[in-house]
Amino acid sequence: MRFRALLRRPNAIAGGVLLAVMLVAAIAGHVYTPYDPVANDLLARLKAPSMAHWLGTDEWGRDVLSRLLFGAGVSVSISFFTVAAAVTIGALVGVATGYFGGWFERVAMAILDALLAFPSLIMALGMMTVFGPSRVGVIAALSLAYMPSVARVVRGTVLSVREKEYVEASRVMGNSELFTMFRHVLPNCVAPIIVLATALFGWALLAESALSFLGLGVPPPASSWGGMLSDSRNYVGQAPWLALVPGISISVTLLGINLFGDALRDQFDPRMKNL
Amino acid sequence: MTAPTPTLSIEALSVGVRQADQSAKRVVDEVGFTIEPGEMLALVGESGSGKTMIGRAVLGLLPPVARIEAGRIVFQGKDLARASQEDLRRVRGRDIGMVFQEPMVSLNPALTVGFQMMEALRLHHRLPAAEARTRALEMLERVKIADPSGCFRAYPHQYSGGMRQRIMLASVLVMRPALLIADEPTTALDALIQKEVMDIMAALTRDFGTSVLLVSHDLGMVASYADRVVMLRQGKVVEEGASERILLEPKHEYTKMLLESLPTRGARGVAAKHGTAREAGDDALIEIDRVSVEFKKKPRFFWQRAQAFRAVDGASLTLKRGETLAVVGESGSGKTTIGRALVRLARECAGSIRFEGRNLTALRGRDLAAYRLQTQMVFQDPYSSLDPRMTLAAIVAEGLRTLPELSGADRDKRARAMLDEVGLPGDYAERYPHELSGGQRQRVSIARAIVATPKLLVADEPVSALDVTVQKQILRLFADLQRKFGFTYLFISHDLGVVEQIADRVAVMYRGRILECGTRDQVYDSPCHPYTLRLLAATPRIARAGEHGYRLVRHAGAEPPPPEGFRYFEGEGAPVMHEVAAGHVVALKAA
Repeated sequence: MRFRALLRRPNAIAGGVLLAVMLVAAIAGHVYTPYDPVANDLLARLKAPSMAHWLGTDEWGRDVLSRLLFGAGVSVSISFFTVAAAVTIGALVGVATGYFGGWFERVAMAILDALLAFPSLIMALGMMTVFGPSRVGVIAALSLAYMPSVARVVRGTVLSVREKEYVEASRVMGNSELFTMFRHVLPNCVAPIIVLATALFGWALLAESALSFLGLGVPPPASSWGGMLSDSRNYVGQAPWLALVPGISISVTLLGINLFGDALRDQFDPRMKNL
Repeated sequence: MTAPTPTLSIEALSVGVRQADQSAKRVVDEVGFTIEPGEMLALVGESGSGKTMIGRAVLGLLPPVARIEAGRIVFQGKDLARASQEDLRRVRGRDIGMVFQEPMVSLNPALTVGFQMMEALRLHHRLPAAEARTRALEMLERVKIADPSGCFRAYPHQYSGGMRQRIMLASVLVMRPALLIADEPTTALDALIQKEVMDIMAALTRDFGTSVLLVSHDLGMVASYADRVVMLRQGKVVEEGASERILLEPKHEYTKMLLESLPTRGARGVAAKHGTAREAGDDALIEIDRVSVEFKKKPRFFWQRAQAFRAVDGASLTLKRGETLAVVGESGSGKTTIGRALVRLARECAGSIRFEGRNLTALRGRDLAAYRLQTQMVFQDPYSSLDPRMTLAAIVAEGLRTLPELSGADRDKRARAMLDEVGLPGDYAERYPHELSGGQRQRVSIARAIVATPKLLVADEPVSALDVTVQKQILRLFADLQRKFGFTYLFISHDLGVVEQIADRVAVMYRGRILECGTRDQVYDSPCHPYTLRLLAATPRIARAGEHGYRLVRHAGAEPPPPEGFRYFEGEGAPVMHEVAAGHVVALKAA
């Protein structure tokens, strides 16, 4: 019922269509691509878009469209799982610390603050040297790096929500603390979580590219959007499509995520139901 | 009061507020009145009557969605409705001062009191610093601040709400404005402080010849301070005239209706309700025996021991089955904490609370959950006591969650029946809290509390946030439910009028201690403790006199002499509870 109502929002439709296109591309890229995304063809280096290569070729003569489709799956899955892990763990830690308080909060927040003190990319770098370059390694490193900021934001919201009288009312009714936390506190913190999650998705896409650029991301020659973007750097003058194609893809995906996230946030808030 | 030119004259003023669909809704509709020099005029009405909008329109401080659509606001020969921002700025502060409702937020916490007071003087009058300082200090003295030069250097957070409102008054009146706009200036304050601030305001404006536009919903206060009253309803003037005539001999139906809604003393008492007289002391539901509740203040450094603050200090009370016991007192008196201890949101550190003979202190786990089904609470703020994400049916049904024998469908059915019971029938069950008015939300809160038919209901200021007409309906609902289900109420309130209407017995609290406790008639008609007397004297009430008229009642009188060898307990040491009449106790101390 909620989801049918969601389809009445123009934001939701536009964002949903963009995300659907993305998902189809990501799945399609692992099933079929016009060329082998990792096959070199040194005779066809840096070719501009043509009928043979719709989006041109890169410095090794690999087909950009094929790499884009294959990379979609890599990049999107990394970002998605990073955000999912960071938000889930971060929200739980944030709600628990904010709601229960006491020594548990002090210890947990001290650890989180220590994590926050490291720039997230540096921390991810450190993690990657442990895990070695792999998809799972990137996801683990990035989600650990982003988790503390989610926890901070959620805790802040919880601190104001837990003072509401409906939380006390729940206790007076004899509900357990855990029930109160999941039934009344967490759902009322959803709006900032969704906003943060959409922002994190974009950061994760870019961070993946930064890691790939440093040789710590998805190991070459497999393609990812971030990797394509960083590889294109030396050829921007000669072959601008190398930068434009992954760049536009990243931007459009982010746009879709943001539109959809906004619509989702409004939909989850009954006060905005009729707006 | 017939000066040739009034201080302010408002002519056919209309203010529109832009709605979500871009249409404009008139919240002030062709309102006109004048204020003569030195006069105090009160704008009275319920919420939504447009009284605050008018006050703000005069200063050009309307919220961005509101706009003056027509009419004139003539002040000192200028039409403020058409004045430029530049002109308005010159008038604000210098010629028209404003005191806001919330003293806690109307002073800048980052600047000293002195700086804030001198700011306006130096800006508008271009006074040298030394002279501005002298005038500010003189003004602080006049609002009865004990140490003016200390106050001058202090920051607002060092003062209580009442002191801040006096400082606010001083910093506005130091400019000697021709007009003072006071928007619910004492609504956020306790009764005793309220009287202090109003007395100072009335005296100073009389001395300076300042006209006052008082915006208020408190009919008793308006009747005792204002010269004239403009009665507003939904943006229109209903009635206008001298305050005695309007409020004590009302002609218009709406004014009559408002006065009818004021709480009155009815035939109350356990006997009146059940038709059978019961002996005092028989069948106690709750016995609170010398209970203390402490709060720990957070220490500055973690190695320090937390300091304790006693919110309730050795209080004893008994609640009899089916009665309404009201606890009255100012903020910080511990009245709310007693209620919270009963529903186990707070724990006593000394003494005992017994419910049907069982001591609550030891209750844990399953026993505590079982006890919680017997006691429920109705909260003060109708806007934060309901989870905004749940429908009303779900909110009420949650009250039945801990009853394992009920299925989901049963719970929903009982929730809907209970919503019906409190006057929210049919499709209200599917609505969300934000779609309801304050009074309707409070009904939901009550339905949630009583759906599992508890024995005790703790109501913490349940009608304080509501207009008098809505207040009357909710109080009637409380009474009806008690008659039907036999609930016992602990009714916490600072409003003596409301308490007089609903309570069987009254306990007066002050700084964690109970100073006086007795039946409603004993406490209201023959109060003993000087604090009770001061509270009653500070609360002017409008009461029915004869068939059509009303009169302003203000308790006057002195306390009876305390028994030989004792004096009235005033705060130090431990009090002795002395029974002055059957069931009427007062706190004494050996002299």
